[in-house]
Amino acid sequence: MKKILEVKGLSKTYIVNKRQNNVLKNVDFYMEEGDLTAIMGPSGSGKSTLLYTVSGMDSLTAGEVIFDGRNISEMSQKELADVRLNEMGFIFQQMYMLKNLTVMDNILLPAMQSKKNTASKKEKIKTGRELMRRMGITEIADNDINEVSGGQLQRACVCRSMINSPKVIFADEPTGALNRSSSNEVMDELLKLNRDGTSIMLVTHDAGVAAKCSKVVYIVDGNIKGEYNLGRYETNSSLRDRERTLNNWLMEMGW
Amino acid sequence: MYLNIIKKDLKRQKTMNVILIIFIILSTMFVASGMNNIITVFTGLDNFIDKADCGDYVIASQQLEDDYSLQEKLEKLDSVTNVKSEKYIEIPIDNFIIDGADLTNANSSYILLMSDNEMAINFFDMDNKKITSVNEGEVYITGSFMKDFDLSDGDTFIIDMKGVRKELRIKSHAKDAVLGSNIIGNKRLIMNEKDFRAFADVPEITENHCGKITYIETDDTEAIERLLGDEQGIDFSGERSLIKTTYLLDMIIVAVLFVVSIFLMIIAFVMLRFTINFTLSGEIREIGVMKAIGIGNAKIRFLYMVKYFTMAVTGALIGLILSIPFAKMLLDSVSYNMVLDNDNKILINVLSSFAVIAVILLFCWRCTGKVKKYSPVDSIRNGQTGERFRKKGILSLKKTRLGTTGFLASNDVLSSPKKFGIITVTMTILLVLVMTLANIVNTLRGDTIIQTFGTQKTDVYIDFYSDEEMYKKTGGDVNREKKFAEIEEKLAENGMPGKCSMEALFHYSLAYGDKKISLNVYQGQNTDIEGYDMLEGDVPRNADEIVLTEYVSDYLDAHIGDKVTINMNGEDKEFIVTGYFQCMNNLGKNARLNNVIKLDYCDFLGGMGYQIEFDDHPSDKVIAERIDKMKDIFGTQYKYQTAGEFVDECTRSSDTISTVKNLILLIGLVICILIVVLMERSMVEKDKCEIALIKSLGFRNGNIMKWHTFRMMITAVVASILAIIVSVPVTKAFGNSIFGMLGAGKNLRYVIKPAEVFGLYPVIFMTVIALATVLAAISAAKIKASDTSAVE
Repeated sequence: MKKILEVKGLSKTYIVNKRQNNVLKNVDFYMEEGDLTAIMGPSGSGKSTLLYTVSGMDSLTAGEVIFDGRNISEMSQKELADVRLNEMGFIFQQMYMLKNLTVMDNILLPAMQSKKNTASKKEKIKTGRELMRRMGITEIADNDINEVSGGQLQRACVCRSMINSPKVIFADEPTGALNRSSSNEVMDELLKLNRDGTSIMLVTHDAGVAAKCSKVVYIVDGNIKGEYNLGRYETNSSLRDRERTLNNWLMEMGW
Repeated sequence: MYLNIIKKDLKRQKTMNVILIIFIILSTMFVASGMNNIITVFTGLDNFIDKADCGDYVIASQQLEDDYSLQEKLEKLDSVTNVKSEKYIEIPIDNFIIDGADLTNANSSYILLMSDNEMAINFFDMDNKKITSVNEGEVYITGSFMKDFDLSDGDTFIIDMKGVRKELRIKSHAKDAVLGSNIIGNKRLIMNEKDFRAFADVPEITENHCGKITYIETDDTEAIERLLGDEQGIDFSGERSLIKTTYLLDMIIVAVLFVVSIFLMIIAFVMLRFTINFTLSGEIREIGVMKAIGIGNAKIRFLYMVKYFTMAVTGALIGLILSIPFAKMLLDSVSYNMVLDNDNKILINVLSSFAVIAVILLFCWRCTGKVKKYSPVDSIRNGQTGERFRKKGILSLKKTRLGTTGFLASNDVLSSPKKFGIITVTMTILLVLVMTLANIVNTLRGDTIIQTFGTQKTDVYIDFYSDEEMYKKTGGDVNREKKFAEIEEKLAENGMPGKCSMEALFHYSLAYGDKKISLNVYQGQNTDIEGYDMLEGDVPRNADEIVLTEYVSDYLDAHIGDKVTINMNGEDKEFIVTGYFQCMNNLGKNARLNNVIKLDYCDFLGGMGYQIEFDDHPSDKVIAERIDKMKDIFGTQYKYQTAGEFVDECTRSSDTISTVKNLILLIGLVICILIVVLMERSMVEKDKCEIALIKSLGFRNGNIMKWHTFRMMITAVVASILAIIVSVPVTKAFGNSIFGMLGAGKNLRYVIKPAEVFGLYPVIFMTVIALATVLAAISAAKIKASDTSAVE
């Protein structure tokens, strides 16, 4: 399988009050096309920093991040913005959306902004509607973002992340602010996307969510302590078994 | 703890707090200086006239030095309690020799010489001290004489007339309550009695050049009007209120500045409200936490009150200090000709500053009332209770053709009309102020209102004051006709044939019923009677027809169709009123006779200059070239003006109003910059999450700058459109009221230069707003896409 994301010797250092804080230390890992990778670790271990650094949202201090064969650590801010717009999708723990826009407009915004997405406006709207239909939120298209539930909003965020058909979706605790039922719904949608070929990298604290991923990377104090290959999750396979196996491994890691 | 919270707040919101303090400083400075100026000037004008002791009625008359007949008649009136007069000699300006000065810069061709022994009223020097005597060889000068010729204290000049040559040194400028305003052309030289006698004792000088100004104390001015009806040789007469009106333009300038001050104060409060609301919405978590740990509403409000009290006092104190020199600077142009003593100057400034602090605190108390609304739960939910629904955006990305940044900008503006409305309203008002003043300035420098100065529009105006002498006698009209023919002939010889005409002024008394009024009567010499604008009725075509100004018509209660009487050389002649016209000269006390009747030139008061109308209707450029040519033909001792220049000189106020306009433009731009920076910075701070989010979606910094700049530009464009729509009616309302007070406020055609007024000023404002937004939006570039998750 082709490597969609390769991280070599990645370090990230923050300087706060003249004191160095090494959040990521010489991290190496990769993601292949179609992977669904979960990043786990204790609070403050550098999970989100890793996600934001490899996605080009934050700068790195040292190392390389090769995205789809291109070194994004050498890219300018403009190039990075273009990559984020056209080739990456993002989902956050909080359902961040622009408050003055309807749900549909929020979903369509990246598509309308993209010059590489050559589809006509009508086609973009059609794609947006189709994504909403798939996520089961067609009825909230013209709603204000304050008028819908958290689960619906997070599914709308998934639609937005998908609108430009990205190669990778980066998700920072996408189910962190949801109840169990909404969390399952959102995870099911992400699994569907993954099965359709979209690579996903997500940060989670939830072993239940991680158990649905094909690979789990465990990070402690800015170092990758271990990687666990769970294999692709099929709907007919036992989630409970995967969860138990993963939990055992996590306990070994010091979870 | 409270101190720490305040310190943290001041540090965190440094930019906005600094801008807020600037607003408080500006508003205090403007309110204190504006209040001070308005009290000083409005009370000051009466004080000045009182201090000058110029009575209730003033008459300027052509009388021989030893002729006291008018004074005696006045003293006989029961209602008159005191009469005093001062003699003067008129010296034509071309008898002055001033080094390096262009004598045609004078706005009057005669300067009045007066002896220090003759001062019937009080004159004041630049330190507002009463002038009691003048040393030999020195002079005090009133009006704009020194400014016209760029003279300073200590400079010397020579008067050389009919064999008398005297070098005089300028002691100082003198403040003259009666003839001191810019609108009055006559300037006086107050000199030592010995110097004065050197001129007064020469009959060739005093012949036809003597006059008196008489000041009367009375409670019945109508009785004086009736008496003057039978008098000859009255140049000017008017009540105290008329003298006050001559300072109208000075008052307008002060009033405009006061309006700007009030406006600035309103802006400061609106900004304050905006900032307080913004601060509070950003502090929901802190407020919630404080409430959760048991701190009461009053204490939390007190915390914010302490912050704003500190800022208000700091700002007001700086504003108060700055207001003193600022008030002086604003009054400088006005106080040059007026004694504006204000004993309570500092007190007014201090009280105004206290008022600003009080209003700010009152306002803060109201705004901080919001604290009561927040519950501890709000801190957990960060203000989102789930119960408050925002009105969603009006536009839809699906339907828009604006592009994403254009859409986001328009949607933001439409979604938050109140927030963006602040800048729209602010900019509209500022633009309307600037546009209105620009229109007034252009009108005063244009030729569309020329008829309100008693003359028709022609191509060139040539002053003829030095020729007046040969007209002021019976048969003077023959000399005048000869001069016309001579001018026309010379023009034709030089390839620029044209018609020469003139507006002649005669001083008569008009009577209707038992009412009489002494006024200026115009008669066109070689003019086309059909070319005069009438407010109502028709032009006077026949020998027994006359038109009146509305002021005269109202005073006499004489209307169209009524017959008024004029005493001409002892003979009463009746004239039918055929219409009303308007004329600002003599503050509206005017009438116009037909061109047919032959008037005796012994009543000739003066004229409006030779007017030339070229036969080939040349362009402005050609007119300018011909003026140069005419200077060679007729001599440089005359002053040559276009119609626009003629109008400008009649009021002599366009430069001052233009300065005020530029000052307001500058202040307006500073206000806009401050508002834009304050709003943009606060919005970037508030929308940090959205900016980070949109960056994570792949928007570049440039897109965000464009988005933010677009929304400010939308408000600027809306403001410009509103200002363009409103500016013309406002100009008319404002202009008509000013010119109306001067005697001509109807059917005025304002000069509106679209390129300047509707183009230049909006573009300046929009450019400045765009630049200010871009600069303020740079802070948005510092927000990283990864901040999306860091924002609470």
